[in-house]
Amino acid sequence: MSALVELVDLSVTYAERGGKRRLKAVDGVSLSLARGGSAALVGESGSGKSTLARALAGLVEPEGGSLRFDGREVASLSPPERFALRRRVQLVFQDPFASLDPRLSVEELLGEPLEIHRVGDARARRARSFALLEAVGLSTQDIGRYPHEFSGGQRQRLAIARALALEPELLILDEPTSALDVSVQAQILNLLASLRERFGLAYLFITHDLSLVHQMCERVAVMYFGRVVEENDTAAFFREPLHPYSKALVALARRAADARALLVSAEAPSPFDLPAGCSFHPRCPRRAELGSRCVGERPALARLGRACAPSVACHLLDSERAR
Amino acid sequence: MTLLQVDNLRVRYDTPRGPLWAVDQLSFKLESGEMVALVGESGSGKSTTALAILGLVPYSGGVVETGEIWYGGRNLLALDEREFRKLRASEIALVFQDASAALNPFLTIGVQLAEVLEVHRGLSRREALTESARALGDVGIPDPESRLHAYPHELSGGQRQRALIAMSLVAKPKVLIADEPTTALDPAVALTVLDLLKREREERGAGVVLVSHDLELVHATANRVHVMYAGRVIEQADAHELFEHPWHPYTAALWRARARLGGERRHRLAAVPGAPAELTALPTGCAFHPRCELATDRCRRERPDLSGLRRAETGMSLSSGRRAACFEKERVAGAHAETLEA
Ligand SMILES: Nc1ncnc2c1ncn2[C@@H]1O[C@H](COP(=O)(O)OP(=O)(O)O)[C@@H](O)[C@H]1O
Ligand SMILES: Nc1ncnc2c1ncn2[C@@H]1O[C@H](COP(=O)(O)OP(=O)(O)O)[C@@H](O)[C@H]1O
Ligand code: SF4
Ligand code: SF4
Ligand SMILES: [Mg+2]
Ligand SMILES: [Mg+2]
Repeated sequence: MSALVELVDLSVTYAERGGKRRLKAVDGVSLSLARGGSAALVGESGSGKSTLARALAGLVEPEGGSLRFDGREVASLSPPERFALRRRVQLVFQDPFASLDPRLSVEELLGEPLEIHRVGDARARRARSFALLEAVGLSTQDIGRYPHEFSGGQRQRLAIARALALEPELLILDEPTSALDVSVQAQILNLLASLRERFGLAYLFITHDLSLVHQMCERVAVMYFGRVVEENDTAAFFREPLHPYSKALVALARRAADARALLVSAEAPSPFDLPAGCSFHPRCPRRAELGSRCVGERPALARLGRACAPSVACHLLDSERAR
Repeated sequence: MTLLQVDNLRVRYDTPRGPLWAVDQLSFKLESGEMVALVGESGSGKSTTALAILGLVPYSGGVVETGEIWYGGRNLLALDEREFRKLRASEIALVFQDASAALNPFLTIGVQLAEVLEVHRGLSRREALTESARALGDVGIPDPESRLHAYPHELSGGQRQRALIAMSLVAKPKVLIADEPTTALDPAVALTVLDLLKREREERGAGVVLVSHDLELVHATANRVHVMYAGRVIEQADAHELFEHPWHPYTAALWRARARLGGERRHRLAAVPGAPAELTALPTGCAFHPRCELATDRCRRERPDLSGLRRAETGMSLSSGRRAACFEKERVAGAHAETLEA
């Protein structure tokens, strides 16, 4: 079975606001996501996670590379085909307070995507709204209420219901619980896990909290300044992260005693002035082992074996690569 | 040595939905060199407590109804604004969390640091700049003399955060109030901030009040913890005792609900049902009862006090400063004892 989403060498560039500089927020990313699979995207703030998500959802135009959905090149689709594709990929954002139009009632919020895509008549849409409320654990009596009448957790349920309205195949969850309290976060994560089982959804789960990755996803991709530096099976990743940057992230999340030694500097470079070669080299405790290679040559993301084997972008792992 | 003692603090906000008591019957002590944490869901009154210690409640539109905050033999709440302003930054300082909001974009870092020292320590501009460079160096900013001349936007995000910490620490305050100091930070920078706070405690005996909703962080860094729910402390204990052997069902539930990095991947997390209490419409009796598995009729009627555990045979109160506000705490504590024995 082909992948649901396949990115090859995808890049997204922003022009600096009011300036002349350009910022490569996503820089040659190749990734694939299985139908019904769950993958996490992790990395420090500014590493390009949200931009990648927006490119996947068709909200920003990639500058280069290929984005295939269900085997078809998205750039080559006709406008109506692209419009139809939007149904199949939905986004849920971090901030449920900002992502729901406060002027719309629950019924309007849930009915709007259906209306835009001309799905069903008013009666069918209302029935669908009831079913959605039930699916996300809200009461059907909430149908006439407005977003401000709900708590943060309920609002995120509402945002999820809205994202599910068009029966998407892929849900992109961009920090969906980072504005919520731990107690409520657990409710939302549990809900997301059961919705995935129930509707056979694929998830791209963006987070800076590695403990959620462990809980929610089968695969994990680590981003560093626009590039994926490691892609791995989640369990294997937490057992033994392979890229030096991944090792640091996992140790920091574990509050391991040696976490400090795994990053030469806590400080990340400026995205406008990225280091040459491997952009992680000024912070990498292992670059000395390779002489000047890390400064002079950028490591490509390469798979360390067949099919489900991990991929890593680091010169240290050259010797382990499959020929 | 006790640095700070908060007694019976009660803070009211008047809102369009009616009055609410963001903090009620709150008491705690901060010893020299210690980190005391306030934890709880959003809206539980943590930041309001921090504001009260800094004398800033009136500026947020609140009213301190009762309470005393003792520092250096004086009740801070009886000070006038001028006296309080002198204490702020020099003796009791806030560790800001948002660098972009707290630094003045039009002034160089050096000027902003030096001003604190001129005002609070009466140094000349020259002396103040020398001290400021030292403060920047102390927080790990390379080449501090030249960075004095930088404007905030010329520093990287991590450096800005450190400059801000340097500003909190430059006058060597005895009490540091850190309200979610690492929430917005990447993990490596967060760790440096925590290292800095630790150093202030160990080297100068500063006390830190850490406000956080991150239980793992609190578990790993604080000495003592006060768990707040709906404006009240519902449990207080040493950090390791609290999480490993909670007495209050809410503490136990919060600790269970967190996602974990280590160990088996579980199918589902142990969520706490319901939503945090609405302060303008507080439940009767124990404010946690609508979400509590152990709630009884008594819990719906009566509000439990913060008290120690009683030993069934003697009716005597056990153990040191540990307290919880729950009618069923013997059961909760016992449940742990049983699991431990099993
Ligand atoms: N609309 C935009 N215009 C210009 N720069 C942007 C825009 N959105 C994001 N960026 C920049 O692109 C980089 C990646 O940002 P983002 O994708 O939001 O990362 P993440 O989600 O990992 O924090 C950052 O340097 C950010 O400042
Ligand atoms: N300036 C204010 N005016 C009115 N209500 C406020 C104000 N600040 C906080 N509150 C209310 O007081 C309660 C406690 O808030 P806060 O101390 O910020 O809690 P926490 O820091 O634990 O999230 C909340 O219900 C909040 O809505
Ligand atoms: S390529 Fe070199 S600098 Fe980059 S992560 Fe590997 S060892 Fe470190
Ligand atoms: S007093 Fe009752 S409702 Fe409150 S926490 Fe204890 S058992 Fe639960
Ligand atoms: Mg983002
Ligand atoms: Mg707060």
